[in-house]
Amino acid sequence: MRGAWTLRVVTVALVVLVLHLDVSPDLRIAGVAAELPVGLAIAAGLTGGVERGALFGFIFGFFVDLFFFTPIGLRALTFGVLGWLAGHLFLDKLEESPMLSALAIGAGTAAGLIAFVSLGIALGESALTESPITRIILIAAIINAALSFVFMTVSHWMWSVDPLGSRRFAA
Amino acid sequence: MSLLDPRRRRRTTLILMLLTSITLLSLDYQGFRPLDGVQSTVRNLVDPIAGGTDKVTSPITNTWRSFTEFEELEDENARLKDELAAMQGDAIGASAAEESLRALLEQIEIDYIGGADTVVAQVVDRPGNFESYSIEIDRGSNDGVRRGMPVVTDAGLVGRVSEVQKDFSQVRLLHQVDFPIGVRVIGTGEVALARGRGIGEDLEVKEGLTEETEITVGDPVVTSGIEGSSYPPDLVVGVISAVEFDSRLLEQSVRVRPVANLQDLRFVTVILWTVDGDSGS
Repeated sequence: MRGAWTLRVVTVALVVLVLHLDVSPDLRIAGVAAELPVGLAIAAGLTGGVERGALFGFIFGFFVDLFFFTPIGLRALTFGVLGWLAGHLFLDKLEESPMLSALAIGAGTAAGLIAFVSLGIALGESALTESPITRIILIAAIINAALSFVFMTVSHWMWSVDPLGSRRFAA
Repeated sequence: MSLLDPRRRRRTTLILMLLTSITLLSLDYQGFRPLDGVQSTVRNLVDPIAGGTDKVTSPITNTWRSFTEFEELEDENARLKDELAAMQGDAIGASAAEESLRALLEQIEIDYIGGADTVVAQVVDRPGNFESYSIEIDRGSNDGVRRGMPVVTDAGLVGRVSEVQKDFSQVRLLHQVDFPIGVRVIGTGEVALARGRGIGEDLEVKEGLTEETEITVGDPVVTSGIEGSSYPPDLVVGVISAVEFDSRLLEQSVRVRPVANLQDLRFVTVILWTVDGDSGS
């Protein structure tokens, strides 16, 4: 059971990472690529609860960090906190309502990107200010909200064989 | 409250995560070498998968781009037609344009690298949302690449190396806003400062060109290479695309269109040359 769970988590993380690195930059809307890892980190918290959301967000963020020139730990921190916060929103109602999921993931993506850019600038990454930040945040939030059903479905699938069974950390 | 208390556990998780993140950030800023090793290992494992995915998904991404960038392509096509017509007119009307063109070709074909070693690199990623003005290449410090080295294509200058890891580097592209380049307009001999103005925009030259300087559209522009410059001399930057006179400042405002296609780079050449003479070898 643990092996199957690990396999699912690694598979989902790897697929989203590859899509983020290699596919989404080619599928831009108004020059903005989807920020898939942020959406997944939020969905992982929404469907898995506080601790799983935080842990998944942190580790996944760390691996995403390895592929960019922004400081290592910046995405780990942002995604971890996002997963942690999203875990607090964990509600059965949220799972049942596509509209609420979309809202949570869209707003979470915007908040996450604002936090990422702000932290980065505070750490001296002035290059971040050279991007059209407002446009990126707005469009990436809309894209992730539109993809919320996919994020939620994948996250449910990812956690469904958790050795801890159906017990939720957010309970 | 025991450790099994959910609230306490959540708080502990958050605190541990924050502390680990701060530790990671500190280690990264201090250039902690094992972290570089982890980075290289993970990238070496994932990059081939990403490369394979690209082959599978390229029909989809190409279709998407043909739809989303159709208007841009139409605009580009119209602009190129206008330019071609203007250049044809100039070429017929004045031999100066022909000379400029010849000069440009000579610049491209001469050994403008000045004998410095070079490294050919493949562009591994299209930039992400927050790296719009940079590309990543598959060469790093192990190949002699150092921060600040100029990066060119067969057409001309594309930018400078801004970050270096063991096996890969980041290159800042010259259309980055306020990216500074010391330039010289062929034929005038005057040195000026060009600056990037954003993706798809021509560079702007405002400082250094007086009203007496005779500049015409189509004149080739190369790096100045003056002492202390970040680039060796005579790297082709672009051609003059517009000339305006600022009567208030008594200066010419000139636009330069980069000759290298900065938005579709596949392979680039890093010139192993730095301003302080570190060859990187």
